[in-house]
Amino acid sequence: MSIEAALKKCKEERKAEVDKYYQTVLLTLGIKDYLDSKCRSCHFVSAEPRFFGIQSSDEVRPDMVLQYESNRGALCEIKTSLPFPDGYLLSSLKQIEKYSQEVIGWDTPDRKVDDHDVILFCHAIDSDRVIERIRKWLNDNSLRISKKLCVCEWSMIASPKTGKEVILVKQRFGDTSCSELDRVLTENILVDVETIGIKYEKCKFTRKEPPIEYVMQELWLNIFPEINARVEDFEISVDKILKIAYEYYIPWSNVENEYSQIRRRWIKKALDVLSEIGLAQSIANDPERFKIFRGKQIRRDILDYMIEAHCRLFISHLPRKLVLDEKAKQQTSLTEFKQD
Amino acid sequence: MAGSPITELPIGLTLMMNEVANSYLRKKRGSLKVVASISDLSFDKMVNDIIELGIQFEQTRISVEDGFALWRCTAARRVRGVILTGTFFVLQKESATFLITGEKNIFLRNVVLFITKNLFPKILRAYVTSEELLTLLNTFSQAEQVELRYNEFVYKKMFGEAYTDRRHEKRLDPQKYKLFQEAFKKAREQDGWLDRIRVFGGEYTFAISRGGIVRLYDGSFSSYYKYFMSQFVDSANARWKVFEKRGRSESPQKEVRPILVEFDTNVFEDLSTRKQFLQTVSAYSNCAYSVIHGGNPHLYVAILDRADNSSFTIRTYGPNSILLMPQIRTTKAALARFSKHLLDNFQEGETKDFKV
Repeated sequence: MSIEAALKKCKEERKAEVDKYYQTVLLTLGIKDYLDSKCRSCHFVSAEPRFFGIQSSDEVRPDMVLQYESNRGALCEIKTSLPFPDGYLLSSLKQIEKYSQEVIGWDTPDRKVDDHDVILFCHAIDSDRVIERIRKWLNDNSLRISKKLCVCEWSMIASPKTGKEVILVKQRFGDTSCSELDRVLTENILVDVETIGIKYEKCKFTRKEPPIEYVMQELWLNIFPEINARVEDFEISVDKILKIAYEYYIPWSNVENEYSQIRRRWIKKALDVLSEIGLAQSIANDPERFKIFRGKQIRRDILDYMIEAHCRLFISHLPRKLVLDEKAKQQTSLTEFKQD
Repeated sequence: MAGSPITELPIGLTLMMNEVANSYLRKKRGSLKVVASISDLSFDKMVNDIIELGIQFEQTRISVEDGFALWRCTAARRVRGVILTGTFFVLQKESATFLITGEKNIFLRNVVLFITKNLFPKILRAYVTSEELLTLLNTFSQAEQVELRYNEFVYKKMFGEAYTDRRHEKRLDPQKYKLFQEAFKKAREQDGWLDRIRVFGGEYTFAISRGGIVRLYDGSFSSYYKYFMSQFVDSANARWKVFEKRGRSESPQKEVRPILVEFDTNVFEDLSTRKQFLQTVSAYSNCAYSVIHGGNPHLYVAILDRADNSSFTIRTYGPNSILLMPQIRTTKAALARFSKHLLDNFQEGETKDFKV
């Protein structure tokens, strides 16, 4: 693959990741909104819960938590896309195995429930393939989930009736231990995107780590103007940004030890990448302080610019033979690469 | 930008401005151009900003009366090797700010309008909609008891395409010209909006545009001031009230208070229009933007107005509307500038508070 082709592919993937994250937030908000208004025996607990295994003490990080009236609940995982090769798909699904353990952190006096379900929300494009594989892997024990597993598909479509864009969620495999939730999922959940879109402005992040460019553009377009009202270069600390985040990106619900939707490490990582692509510079001897080059005029889609610059950087770090080898089907994702 | 200008000029200024106007109108092909604007600052507080634009500039306050102030300014600016020099006047009361010149169009464009553009957000151009323009002309025509007829008009269609309808011949029999209302009707029939029109009737000959520029060829300055210039500012102030204090930082609860822009037609029914709308957004000058969701089917775009470092997002809403979502720091000036950009380059629309 040529460098230019690799760059194009990388850009498309990153752009899609940002869009998917945006859609995931809308989906989470949509489910919350629907359950809050339509479902009495099941309620949305939080988009940023902290749960720990009772035995293992390991933190588990579901995208969403639902709690039923019957002292039961559900830990939910949202997948905007799932990989095609079976090996990658299985390792993605292994993440929900962790949800099978008994966890503490529920919205109850002792922070425990009698039992809980596991719900996987996957995109409608992936649902048939994923359900078929889940069936197979549950049978041959490649996938071990000791709780009730329910798989739902979601999609964003134009309503045939009104032409308005809606989020459609429907149950595709298994069920839950809440009959009312089963009923609404069987009847399909429909949420008006336009209504949810307004709520999105205050809830732009879930617990799931966003693509780094999503954070970068939010800093650039929304947070930096609040820190310095003039379009000029200025210095900033991670703490200063966190202070703004505490004020404007408040947690979806009042969960103990949660102060903001945006995590410190996401901010730090975003500032590091801004430095790597020439829009910021770390201050010598202080890894928490940066000079931001706001005076730089970028006459194009800033998200596109950030993605392209980041992809160029990513490709320049790849071994040359990996870029040029047309048979290199599986490339390291940019997020994984940065984490390494 | 509180308060509204008194529609009548005080007597001293009336005499002075009529005399200024006449001195230009008496010249062969002479005209006086007035740019209606709004500013929270007294004009003399902007002098340094003007000089920073590379303009040689001098100003003298020549009159103060009943809260009005009048400055006479001389300015010189080098444009592509040519030095443009000329005079203009600034008439100000409270937020109403009028820049007035009898110089040629080249001076108007490259000096006066250059100043208003580059002094944003300290100064904002006032504008009205096509319907408001029609109302102003009707009011003037009735009050002054003149039949206004047009000999030229420009209308704009969606995405800012402009079309001109002009009669070149020497005006001998006014009755052969149609009444101005016909021009508005013609524009509507073409699915467009009248952008500017040149009319005559009785002692008056003038051209007027949605963008807040009045060109006087004949007639008394004070009448134009009363029926058009002051009205431009009043309309813009009323329209922009909805943009006031929208930033989340200005809300005690850090709330998001969206603004609905409702267009005249179901413009977003055609999905391809959404892509074209993106082009309109990307053509917005001095901005940084970010397309988060590119129109399948809805559009979601974040915008940073680099002119005053404030941001908002745009979301398509139904077949005929968009929502402007103020962010942490969002100024009235940026929202007003963007709404004028939509008016000029997309479609006319009504702006209102959106109740969540």
